[in-house]
Amino acid sequence: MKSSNKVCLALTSAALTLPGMVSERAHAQAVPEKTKVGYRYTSYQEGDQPANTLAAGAAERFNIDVHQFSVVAPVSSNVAVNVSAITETLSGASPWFIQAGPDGEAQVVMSGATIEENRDELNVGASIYEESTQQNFGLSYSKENDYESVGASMSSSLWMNENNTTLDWGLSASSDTIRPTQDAAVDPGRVAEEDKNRLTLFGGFSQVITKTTVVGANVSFANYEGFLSDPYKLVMINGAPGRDSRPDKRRQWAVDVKLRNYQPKIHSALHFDYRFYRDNWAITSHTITSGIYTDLWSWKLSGRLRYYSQVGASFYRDFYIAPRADGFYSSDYRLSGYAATSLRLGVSKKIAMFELFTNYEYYNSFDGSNPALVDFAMVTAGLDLNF
Amino acid sequence: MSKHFLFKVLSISLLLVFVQGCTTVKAWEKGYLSKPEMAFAPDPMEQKIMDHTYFAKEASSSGSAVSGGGCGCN
Amino acid sequence: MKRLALVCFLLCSGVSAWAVDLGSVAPNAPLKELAGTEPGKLSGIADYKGNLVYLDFWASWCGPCRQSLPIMNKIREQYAEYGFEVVAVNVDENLDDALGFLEQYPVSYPVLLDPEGKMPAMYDVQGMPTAYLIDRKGVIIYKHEGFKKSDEAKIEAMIKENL
Repeated sequence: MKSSNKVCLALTSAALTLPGMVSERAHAQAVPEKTKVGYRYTSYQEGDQPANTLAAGAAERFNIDVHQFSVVAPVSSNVAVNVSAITETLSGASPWFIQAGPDGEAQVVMSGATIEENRDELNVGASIYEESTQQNFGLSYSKENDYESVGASMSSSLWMNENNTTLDWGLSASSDTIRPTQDAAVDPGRVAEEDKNRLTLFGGFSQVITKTTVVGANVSFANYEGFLSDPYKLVMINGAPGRDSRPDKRRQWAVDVKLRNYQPKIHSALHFDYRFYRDNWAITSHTITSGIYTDLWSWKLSGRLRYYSQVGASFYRDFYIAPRADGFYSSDYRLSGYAATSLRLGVSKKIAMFELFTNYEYYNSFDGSNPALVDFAMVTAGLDLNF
Repeated sequence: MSKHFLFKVLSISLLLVFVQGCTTVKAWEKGYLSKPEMAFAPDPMEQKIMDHTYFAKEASSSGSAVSGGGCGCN
Repeated sequence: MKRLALVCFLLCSGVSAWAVDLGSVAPNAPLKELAGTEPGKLSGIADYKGNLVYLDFWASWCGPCRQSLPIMNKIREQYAEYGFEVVAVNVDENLDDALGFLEQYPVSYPVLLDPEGKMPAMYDVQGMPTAYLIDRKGVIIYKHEGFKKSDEAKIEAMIKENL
């Protein structure tokens, strides 16, 4: 069989965004012809904590300003490099602990002072393109006031069957250190310095079904070891405060299935994604995303609906009536059972060498016992430049 | 139960691959498939910020986890 | 059941029906001409026998074609007087896409329309773009897959060698 197969443009791959990597893999096998520079600004705002479930502390939750930069450039006939950076400024209060209110209902006590924090992240990587394969390598680093992380990743893709079938696999690892901001007056006994390590493996494939349909599936596994608790959060155990205390090991599995189908009559690509997740803290979740991406002359419009539901961790409670034998406690809403829906709309336009983007997303959580479930809105504006 | 479910999903998907190996789409027929909006992630930068946000606000991310675990999620 | 699927996969993925290779006679099919000597009439590469022909399969959705078409147009103008012609076969399913592309990247050589992909099927094209250099007797002497700016020198050298 003829093995020569330089395909012009996108044949997509199953791999999802891997830690430390830009998923440019969608346009693979041939080195990108042009250099692409991208910038995005995102403003993220959480809804205030409703007064009726706010026992004490500030009602205003997180506001985050994010600046993203990305450069992908060919450096030889078969190698491209990528550099991306994120810098974000975060301010606002967050849930500190949950307590039983006067009628036994759960109420949240928020952290008092609003904090301002910076987080910076840098990723560098390279992609090597051969006859029917692509190899990616990446390094990542992130730092914020109380957290530092270093990571590395590598992944490979293989094209077969006249570029109709793609196999992908890869792994990534990171090593993090947390040095929580101390506050002896409010919370003595906070840990001073802890570590955590992560290893992620994934494998997947994509398959062209017809001229207008492609599907993909991906399986991933992640293993975490070390300090996995939230050092800032407390729990209420029979009316007395205790620390958020989670197991020091966590194993996660996820299966993703994706479908892309093009409808020429309406100039639109239809997207459907489903993800099933399970971990050894007994959390399981389902994520269903559907979207439509429409091309009207030089304008591109997109709309996307996402439904998310999770079952809480085995050791999660809003508040505890009695101590637990295993010593695990958390009232962090992110480990509780709840559902969320979000709507995302996007518009982009090509003007000469530029492409301008703007997106809006509204996310709404519900159906959970934790009073600190979050709603947020996110607005993004940015541009890409190809030269 | 999860291992059995995973196995089922994988086998069915793999079977789909093998069966579809028989209806090959040719290189010159890939016009629609090569549109950017047909990619699994049409806009990688947007995908990254979305994954970062969901990772910080929800319990479940592994394969899509972003680099640099610190997420300002407290 | 799994064994049957495996056999099916192996059978279907490994076989190439036509082996149009270097040294074989270039297959021909009558196609509608968009631009060239007589737009609208049916013609094919056989009409250019006696010339050195660069047969170029392209499409509006093909990124490297934004570079290959202007470069081939330049090369063609240089060597046309010596009996060199570029015959471009467009495989877009929508004519409008092809026309839009040619508005941005106009060429002065013949463009044939093949929305059903008859010609690329005869050549068993494996990637887009793909081009074949066909000598004056109608025999394929060179195949070029993909396109980068740095390919210009190699292609020009092949053409000069065979004029």
